[in-house]
Amino acid sequence: MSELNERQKNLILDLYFACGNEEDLNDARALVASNSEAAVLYDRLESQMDVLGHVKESPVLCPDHLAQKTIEKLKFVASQTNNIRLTELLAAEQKKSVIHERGFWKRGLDVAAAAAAVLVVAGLYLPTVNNIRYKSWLTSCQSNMASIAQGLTSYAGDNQNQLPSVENPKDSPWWKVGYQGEENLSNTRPLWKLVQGKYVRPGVFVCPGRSAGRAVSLDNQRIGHLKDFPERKYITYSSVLTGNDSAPVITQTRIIFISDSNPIFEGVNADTRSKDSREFKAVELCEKLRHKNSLNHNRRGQNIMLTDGNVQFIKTRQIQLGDNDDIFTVKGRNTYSGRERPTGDNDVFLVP
Amino acid sequence: MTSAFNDNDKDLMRRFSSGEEAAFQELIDKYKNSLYSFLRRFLNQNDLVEDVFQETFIQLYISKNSFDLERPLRPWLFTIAANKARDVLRRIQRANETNVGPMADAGDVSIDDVFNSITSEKTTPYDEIEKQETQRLVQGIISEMPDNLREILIFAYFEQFSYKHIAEILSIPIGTVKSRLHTAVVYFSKKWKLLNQK
Repeated sequence: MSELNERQKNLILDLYFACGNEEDLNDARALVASNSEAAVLYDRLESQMDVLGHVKESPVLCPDHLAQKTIEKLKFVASQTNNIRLTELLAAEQKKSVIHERGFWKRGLDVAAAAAAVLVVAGLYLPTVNNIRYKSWLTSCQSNMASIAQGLTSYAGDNQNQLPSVENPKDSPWWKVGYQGEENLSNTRPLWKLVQGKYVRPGVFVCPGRSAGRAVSLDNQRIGHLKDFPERKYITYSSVLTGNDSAPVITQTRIIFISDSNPIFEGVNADTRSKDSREFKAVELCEKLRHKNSLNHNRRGQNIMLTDGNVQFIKTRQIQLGDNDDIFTVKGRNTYSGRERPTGDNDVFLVP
Repeated sequence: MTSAFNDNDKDLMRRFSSGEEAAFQELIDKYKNSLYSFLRRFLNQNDLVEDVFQETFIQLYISKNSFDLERPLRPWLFTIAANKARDVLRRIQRANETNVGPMADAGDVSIDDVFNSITSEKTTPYDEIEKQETQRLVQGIISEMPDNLREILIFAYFEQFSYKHIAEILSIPIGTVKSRLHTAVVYFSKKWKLLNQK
């Protein structure tokens, strides 16, 4: 039986769409932060409706020719000083039937010319726009990682040179991002410490290449009540999984600390409601999974951030660490159950 | 919005109304993408979208004297666009004598219906191909929605207008905006669930 009344449920919907007035939105935020049933309902609503985001994130841009044509028409209308003439033009414009307008375009020569022009313009324009967008997101992602590096340095400075860590027993899972119980079941909890300690803004953990530039934010009140990122969409980076319970420290040795998301475990989602309600489907490495790059940058490679703050883009997953090490796998292991640990200091394993 | 934002629009609209050509360009540049994407999602036919897009800005100029400079420009612009888009849909409906874009009754859906319609399944696309497929399916559901639900969902989710502005744009009470949004969420959730069961 639900304990929430009708107004409270309405507030949850208002919060999701952010359409209500400021007072209601504040009430809604406080409700979701303080009431677990409200938080669950909000998460369910968010999970369901977020598929709409896939449409939202694909930009629909106005074609240049349309903007230009509209400007020309406006200039023409403005140049008419005779109000009667203006009214007639507007009336004529409004009476034009859609079918009549289409008739003009049906004239063969016009259609051929327009089609040719569109093809040429589209052929030139689309790859350029895509490329510009790709590069811009790649750079923004590097800047995100640089911010995380700064946060890590400040954290280490305040904590005897240690990087954030949580107690993570050897056989516990590392993939349950979003689980809010007491046990540490995800590898994102150490990074969440950076958010809670206000060393890093939560938004920088989302690669713009993955969110199509859409900003993700979390309000401070909610952050205070959470033990981990609320769900996977709030962190699209993978981070180093340490081989034992001790906290990693900043040393002279450069190690990779964070990268774009691990492509092998992209299908794995955490359920935020209980620790056991979703199972990890065992992953068997195939040839494709061995070479796939991160989804964040169209599989062209991945940004990595090292403990000395250096950020770079690598086109393959292998790095020189003793011998060639794949940063997304455990050395010598082909099947994964979500509980593996790296084999040693020369084995980097970035998860989830 | 901030007052700086409004002041900027106020000045732009003043220059636009006086026929300053640079202001035409500025105003169109500022609103072209959001207006165009609204019309594309609402009308879903490219030739209609282009007509309504142009008519909206021309109407904005023609009715410049009735615009209150103290009010925000964006909802006003979308009011004109929504009215014109609905006129076009009605015209087509009359011409074809078919039932294009029926209106949905928004009266019977409660907030409990909204949350009951939501599935707890989470469907995050695995890769780019799945993502594109999800995009296509979602777009399909939106374009098949009754007109009055589609427009409310677009204004609330995609354009992120407040209830107050949506009510002004569509000339309906805020209560009706909310109940239509409830109906739209239930409609979308049910269709999405059906698609995922296939």
